[in-house]
Amino acid sequence: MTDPDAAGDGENAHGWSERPSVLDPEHLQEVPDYDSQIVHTRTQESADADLVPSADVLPRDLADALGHDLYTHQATGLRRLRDGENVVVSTSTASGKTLVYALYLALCKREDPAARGIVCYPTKALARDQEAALGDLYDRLGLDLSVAVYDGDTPQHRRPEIREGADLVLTNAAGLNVYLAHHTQWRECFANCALLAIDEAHAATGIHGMHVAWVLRRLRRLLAFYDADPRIVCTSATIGNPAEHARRLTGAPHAVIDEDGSPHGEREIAFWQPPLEDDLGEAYTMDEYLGAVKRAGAAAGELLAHLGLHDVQTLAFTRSRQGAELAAKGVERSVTDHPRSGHVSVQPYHAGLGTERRRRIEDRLGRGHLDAVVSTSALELGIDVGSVDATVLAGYPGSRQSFWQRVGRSGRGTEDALSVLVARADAIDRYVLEHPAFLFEEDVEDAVVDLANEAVYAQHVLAAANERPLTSEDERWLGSGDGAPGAPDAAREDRLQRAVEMWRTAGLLVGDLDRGVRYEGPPRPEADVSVYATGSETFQVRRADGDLDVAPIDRERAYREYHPGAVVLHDGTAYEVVAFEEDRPTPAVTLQALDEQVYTKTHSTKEITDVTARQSRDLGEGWQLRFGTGTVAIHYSHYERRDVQTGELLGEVEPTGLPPIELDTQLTWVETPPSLREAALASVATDALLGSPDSFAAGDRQYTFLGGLHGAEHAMIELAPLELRLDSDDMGGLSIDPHPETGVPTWFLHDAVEGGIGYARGIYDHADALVARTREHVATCGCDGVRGCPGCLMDVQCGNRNEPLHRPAAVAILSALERRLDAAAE
Amino acid sequence: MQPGRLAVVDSDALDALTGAQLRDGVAATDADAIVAPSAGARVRLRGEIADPGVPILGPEGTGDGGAARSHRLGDARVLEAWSDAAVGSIPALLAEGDPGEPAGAVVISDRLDCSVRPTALRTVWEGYDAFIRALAEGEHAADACVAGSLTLCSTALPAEYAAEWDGLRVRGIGREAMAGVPSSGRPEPGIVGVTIGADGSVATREYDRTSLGLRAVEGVGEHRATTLRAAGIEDRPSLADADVARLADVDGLDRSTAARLVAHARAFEDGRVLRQSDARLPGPEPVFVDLETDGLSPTVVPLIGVLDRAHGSYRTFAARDPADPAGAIEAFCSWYAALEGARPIVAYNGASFDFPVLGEQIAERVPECRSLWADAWTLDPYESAVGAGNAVLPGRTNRLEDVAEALGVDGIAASDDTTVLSGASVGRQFRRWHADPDAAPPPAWDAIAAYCEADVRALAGIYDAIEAADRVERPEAGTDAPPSETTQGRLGEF
Repeated sequence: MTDPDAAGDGENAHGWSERPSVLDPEHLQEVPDYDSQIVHTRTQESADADLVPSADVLPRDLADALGHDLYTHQATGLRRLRDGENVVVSTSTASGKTLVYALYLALCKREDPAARGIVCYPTKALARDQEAALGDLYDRLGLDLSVAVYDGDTPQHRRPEIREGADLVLTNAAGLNVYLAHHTQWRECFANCALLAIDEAHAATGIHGMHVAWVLRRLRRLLAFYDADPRIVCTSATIGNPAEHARRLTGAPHAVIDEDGSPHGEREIAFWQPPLEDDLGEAYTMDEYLGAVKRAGAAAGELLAHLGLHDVQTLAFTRSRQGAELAAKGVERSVTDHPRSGHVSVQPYHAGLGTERRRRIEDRLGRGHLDAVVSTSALELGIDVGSVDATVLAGYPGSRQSFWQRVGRSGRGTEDALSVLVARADAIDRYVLEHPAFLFEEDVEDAVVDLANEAVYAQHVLAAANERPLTSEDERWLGSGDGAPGAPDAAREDRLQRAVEMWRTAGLLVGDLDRGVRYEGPPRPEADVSVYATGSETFQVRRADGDLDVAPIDRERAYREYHPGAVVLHDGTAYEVVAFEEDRPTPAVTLQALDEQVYTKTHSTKEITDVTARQSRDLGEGWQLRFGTGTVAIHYSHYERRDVQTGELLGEVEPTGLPPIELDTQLTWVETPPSLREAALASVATDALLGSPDSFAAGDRQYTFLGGLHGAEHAMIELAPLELRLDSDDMGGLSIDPHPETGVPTWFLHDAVEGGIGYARGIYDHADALVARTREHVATCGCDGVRGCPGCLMDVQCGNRNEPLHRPAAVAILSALERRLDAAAE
Repeated sequence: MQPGRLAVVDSDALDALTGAQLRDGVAATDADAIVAPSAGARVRLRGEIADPGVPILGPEGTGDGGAARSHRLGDARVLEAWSDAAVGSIPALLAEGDPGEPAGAVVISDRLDCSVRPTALRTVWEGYDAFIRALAEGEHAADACVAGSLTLCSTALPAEYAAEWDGLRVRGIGREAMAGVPSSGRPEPGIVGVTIGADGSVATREYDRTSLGLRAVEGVGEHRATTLRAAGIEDRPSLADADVARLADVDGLDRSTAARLVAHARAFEDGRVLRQSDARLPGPEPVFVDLETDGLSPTVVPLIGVLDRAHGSYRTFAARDPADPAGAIEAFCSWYAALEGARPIVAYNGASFDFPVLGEQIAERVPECRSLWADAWTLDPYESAVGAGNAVLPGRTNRLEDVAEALGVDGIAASDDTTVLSGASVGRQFRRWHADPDAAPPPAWDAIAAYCEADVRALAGIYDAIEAADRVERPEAGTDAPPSETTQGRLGEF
């Protein structure tokens, strides 16, 4: 929405940098209650396009039909594919990665009219979005290539014609998982498959990523059975380990294409810290703190109002659907409070809205008919909505990759853009605010896909046996020695053998790997693979008073977040868990919509047993850093209800009524010398010790020492996203002195998913960098008192109510560990 | 020889099934004895089924210090052993038997279980060591090495389970899924029917609660069953005899629904098909076909049965040579090519299974016959009746054997074989044989051929019944039961 009276100034008439900067201090005074919220600004330099004439890479007629040059990364991608390599194209948003595989298929078709392609997307919505775009592209190129989505929503009567005739089939991993059992119906497509593309491959991480990796291996196994050897193209946002990730995901080596030839304008990035609203004093709890800080979403709303009133079209990102709805409402309020008059049209956007509504918003945004959209990560992935002038991020999205993806949404072509990062009140946001250079570092986080989870592996072995009998030749697809060379996933040589033996003994497989192992169990073993969970028991999530479209959840998650009495958010609404039924044919939790503004916090106790080290680093002087497996028993025993606005406790602490839940999973832990306590407390004055509760018999010094261990544990988990793409919901920790099995003061960082998910492993591999950053961050935190604050040690998810925590002790412990790591590295 | 039959009723079934359903289950399994493995089951069972008419086996019946007890069910010898002491008494018990008795004995017990540990890639045989030890202690009094002659049926293992544990044949006859096996939840409560051959062979068949009692009537779901019971209608015969006008007064039922339910129940009791549309089966006498394969995703079809009543012949095409797995398919194609006149090929559930399987096998093994098969006229009475809604078939489920039994056309009279078979066990035999033709025992070809023939003839009987059925008015629009009420669902397995 531009002001028709604004003086144009050369070709950048609508560019950001040509307008007086709205975020200069004098203009900022227009934002009500402004008080130095801008902590820094940084500038990302503009970049010109790096082009290659398309006729250099494509046949003349195709180049002419395309009508424009190719970016260098597109050209390189095509060249290397033609040379017979697989490629992973890891460049920024809107850099035309799709063109690489779209054009490659066109090239294949020239040499073999029967060639087919399969593209795997992370979501159905994205596949459908691309279906139209790819269809249009081929039309423009004058090519008679059919593109069709094949997923759960494809009508039955269309399926045979797509299988038999579509040139490019667009689907997703959950779909492939069940289609593979009927591979004979796909014979034509598989036998002629010349291209396999994995779009937005960086999104395949965590639990979902594990399943994608095994489904792709099962697919490649079948493609090989039909004598096909397609080239693989992975497109990805920038991640720290594109080659490794692509290899982990597909089992094949890839050439990395990450020199981005696409252009962009200059981008200013402002770091905004919302103020504390109340005066908290020196000692406060996490809840009091959260209640006091103006939420990032509300602050974002104010910014959107301000920007919108100055004709800047903005896209804002929030963490949750409810956050998006609330922030959109907040914009309207802020507009009323703003001294400048005008109207700002704003819409929330998230996956909970109907398809129709989302399409309308995308359309209006793209045409400039909306001033602002507040979205969840739903608009982070490639859906084409054009570009906006500015982006506002309500909270650091958890990874640099995600940060740049969102920021990249602003800036029309080569025009300049503005992004504002509004910090939330937690450790990682505070870290980013204080170390803005962190965002500009070369090394982006690694994507994590764990192939070592045996339980997930075993499920896929069954599905594969059902597709075709297993033989020792299948070691190539399903054995160990897979993934990156030297990776711990290549755990044991006989992995397939052991999985087969396990299922054979259970009566589900028969035969041997020399002659063929067949599946002999109940029909459709692949249906038991839920690509969003690892456990064998998933819970349905239902509503007592209506419908709810939510995927089934893992048992662990059900106990942790959906226990009886828990309050959960979906789709902008709060619900209470009114029924928790595990002992029935289909385990389920039942929700009921809640009018009150409450949230719940769960208390848990934890034990870790059967600790088995698989890898160790002896750091000397009694310090050990280890990685391995163990059994984590968590008892989500009680919960409390609190008021959303004030953080005040409502009523009594209630029992959940649930038994402990056990997880066999992967862990990383630090064993420390018994002398550590005195060393850590050496410089802590007596009056700076924590006062231990009456129930704690070992005294204040021990309690304080535990506060240091606990603090070290928390900080490492909270700051792990600095190094790895991970979801801290899927991690947990335990600090204890002494641990019954290690015998010494120990803190554990474990995956909170049955069988493991790769995060503990990632921490072990990146320990040096992570410990260094963590120590520095905790040491330099400006908080008062010794208990730390949400910006350094306190964790919203702590089952122990964030007690005990002691910052000086934690710093001393982390420093000692850092010294040992440095010494061991020499 | 007559097989022995059991009905296994666990605590879930006792909790969830009504008395009428339990009685129906005992009738469905034609049980010679009921197995009630859980504590307190005996008393509860007697409460539900006042006089079962057959003995109840289970851990509580063993009053005399826990010795194994021996029963003769049909011509099969069945022992029950619910403690280590009981297991120890087995060898002596076997040694006492008549020399003329079949050597194999079937033992019912809860001693053996399996738990799968996916995170460690291990499956553990629970209770196996204790079982073998207990057996060995008992053997001092008798000849050693009894384990190899036993088939252990465990109520703790699921009904599809079949394996050899170091030479001990182990079969599951329970309903609970194995610990650690991925599954989308626990199964519906139900009972397991077990058939035991004189040679120790075991076949199982499960009846869940949607196929017992009132629930087995088309249109009666859980909610409606409760409504009917509240109105005093407890079982199928009462529903079949109910007064439509009185039933229509019941809450939640209107006249046309009441009429429909009574008609369905009546047809079930009388053993008739209810035609619901004008669609008729085509004229010419068909040929009836059934396949025996090595599983639900077959890699080979070793046996095909074909009934041609026009020529008064029944043929079996069998691939007895493991080196020539295409033998049966080739012979079938030759025969079909020579068949005169345009006659449809009929297979039950053929549209989902037999016809696609034949198509794939022909494409892979006898590709010169692809066009012959592509032009074939095929017909699936299950698809036509149930899938397309043209008829309601009587029977607890729409499975071939249940429909045939309800119609009274269940094929050949009881076989003389000492071996009992099921689709699963036939598949197992073929799979094991193909995996290792030298070491595995050859399939029981004659028994399998007879088993297949019985199915083909039953199919013909069902076809005739559909053809002969009278047209019944379709219910008025808008009174169809919501999907959750439909009980006779699609076939999912053999």
